[in-house]
Amino acid sequence: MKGKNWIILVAMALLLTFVPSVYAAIPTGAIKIGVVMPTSGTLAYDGGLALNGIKMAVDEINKAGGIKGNKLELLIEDSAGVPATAVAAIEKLIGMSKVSAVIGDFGSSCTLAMMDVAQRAQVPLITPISLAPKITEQGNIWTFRGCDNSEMIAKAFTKWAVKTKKLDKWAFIAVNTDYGRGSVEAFKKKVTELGGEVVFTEYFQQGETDYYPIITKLKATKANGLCMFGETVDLSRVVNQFYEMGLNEKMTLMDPTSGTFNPKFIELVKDKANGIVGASRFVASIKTPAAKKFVSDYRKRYGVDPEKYAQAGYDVARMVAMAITKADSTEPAKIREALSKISYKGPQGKAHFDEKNQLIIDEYIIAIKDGAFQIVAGPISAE
Amino acid sequence: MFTVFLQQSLNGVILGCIYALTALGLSLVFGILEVANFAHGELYMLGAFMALFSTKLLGAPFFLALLISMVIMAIFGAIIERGVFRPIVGKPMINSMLLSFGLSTALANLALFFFKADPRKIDSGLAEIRFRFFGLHVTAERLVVLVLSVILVALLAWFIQYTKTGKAMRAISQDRVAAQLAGINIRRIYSVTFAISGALAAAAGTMVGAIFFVSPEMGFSVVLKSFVVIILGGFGSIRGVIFAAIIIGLAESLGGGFINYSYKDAYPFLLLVLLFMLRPQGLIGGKRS
Repeated sequence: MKGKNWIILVAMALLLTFVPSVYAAIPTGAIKIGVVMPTSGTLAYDGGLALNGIKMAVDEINKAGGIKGNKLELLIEDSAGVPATAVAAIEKLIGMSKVSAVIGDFGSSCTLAMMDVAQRAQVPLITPISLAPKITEQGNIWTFRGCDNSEMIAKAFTKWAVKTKKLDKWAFIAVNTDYGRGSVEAFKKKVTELGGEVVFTEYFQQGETDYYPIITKLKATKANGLCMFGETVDLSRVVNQFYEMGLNEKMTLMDPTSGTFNPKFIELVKDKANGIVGASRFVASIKTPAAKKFVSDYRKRYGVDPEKYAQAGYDVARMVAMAITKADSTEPAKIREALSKISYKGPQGKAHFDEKNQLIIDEYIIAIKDGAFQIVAGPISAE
Repeated sequence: MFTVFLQQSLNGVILGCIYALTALGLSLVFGILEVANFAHGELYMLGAFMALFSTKLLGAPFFLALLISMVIMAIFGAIIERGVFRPIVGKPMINSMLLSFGLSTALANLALFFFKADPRKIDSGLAEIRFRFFGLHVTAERLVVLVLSVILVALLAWFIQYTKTGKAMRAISQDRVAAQLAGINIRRIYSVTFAISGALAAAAGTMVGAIFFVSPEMGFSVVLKSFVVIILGGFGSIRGVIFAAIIIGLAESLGGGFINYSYKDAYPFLLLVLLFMLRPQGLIGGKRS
């Protein structure tokens, strides 16, 4: 008995002497990162794309040894695109699972609802997708937007559309959410500033199937450009019905936030996608080495080309990992601090956060031709 | 402006045809079994998936896929009647409401699990054929919906009016006990009714799957609208249901086009509230025929 005690004593002494030398702020064990994304409901498909990117980034980091030997662990919750569910999800992640940071959500309405929880709990929340400008206009230092916002896109896109493409009579069809309404407001302002005219604005509910009532109404206007804001599935219906009514002869289709710039959309509308123009921070045809590597890795893993949702998920997950490494801590406050000063380089290009926690990145003008996404102009700096 | 009005009306009538098909099946089941089947929308959803798989996996042309889906869903309808609804026939309405609501949720979630939320479209090959007359646009696909609905409704009316089974169905809806005493095999009629209801729902689902999309949650809103249609049209009246379905289609289309599109789905329900206030006996009125 006595001999055993002695061994324990020595072991403890050894351990204690070791502690200062291996001392690190990151406690050993998995580093928990929460994710809130819609994996059911009408946004399930698009939410899944962002999730693909996040999972790929985390697997890459873990395969390369994790962060200082600690693996990243993703805890994924489904928001179903419903703000109340999103709030419940982030409460669970922060309160019960004690995550270090939260990535999410997809819809702006959900992200806006979650922001207060993040601020109250003092845990950084970073959205890879939500576009509504007001997310970063509220002075909530705990919320970051890891992608461009509709105002930045509006600035780059309208300049090109009104000046170069000569579209002066605009019609808007947008989803009736914070994202849709926010985008329309931002674009209207820019279009009128540039001397264009807005002749038609309609909003639809998410998951709407029948757009004939508004497409018919649109037909009676003098618009020469239809600007759409929405997600893959809804917009594919708009485009199909737009063609069924023969409107393609009258106006150019624009999708500046590029909800349509993905293979699923092409599959759903086929050659009707030809000629749709938009702006995007990312398409699979960007030719930088970083983008090429990302595209080929993604294709190897998922069998399709990545689009901007997957890219944003991927970049945001890597930014969080980078911030944790920089902060050398799993404490949410230190991660937030590091994230705000990050200088990141990903497949899309260089990126950093401004004083409002808005990511500053470049934009490209894109057109769809025979199922491929061609870069028409860009990169256009957002600053 | 007039062309816009005509176009909106045409869109509304075609929409109404689809509502008529789903509502008729629901109305039959309600009239004969006296159960409110909230899982009817799932028959419509599963029908759309059956047609989708027939075209995608078997390479069947659209009309064959429609037939396959109708046959499968007729059998499925008879199975759920035998397995789920028969034990509660004659019990209070609340039983069938709760039961079918549970069935609806179960089927929709099973579909979500097995078929995934990934939206898909039935390729009819008809959407690319477009007609234009007097400034109106219509695709061959939507014309097919119009024609097929008329054919199916006519078939149903003929079946109920002139065949022996149809007469038995009417007898049961009038007086179940008397019909039983007259020697009608009511169990067989129950199965037949559910089979017809399933087939009609499958036809509607397939056509919607071609025009719009096929997804596991597509059944939910349709069943509510179908209830509005049968309440508006008067329970058990075929003519009333068709009439009400077209009115609902028009209300959505014209209301969405001329008042406010965002509240498109509210107009049918608004009509229902108005009806209850102004004509509580139903649009056609009186006892069912």
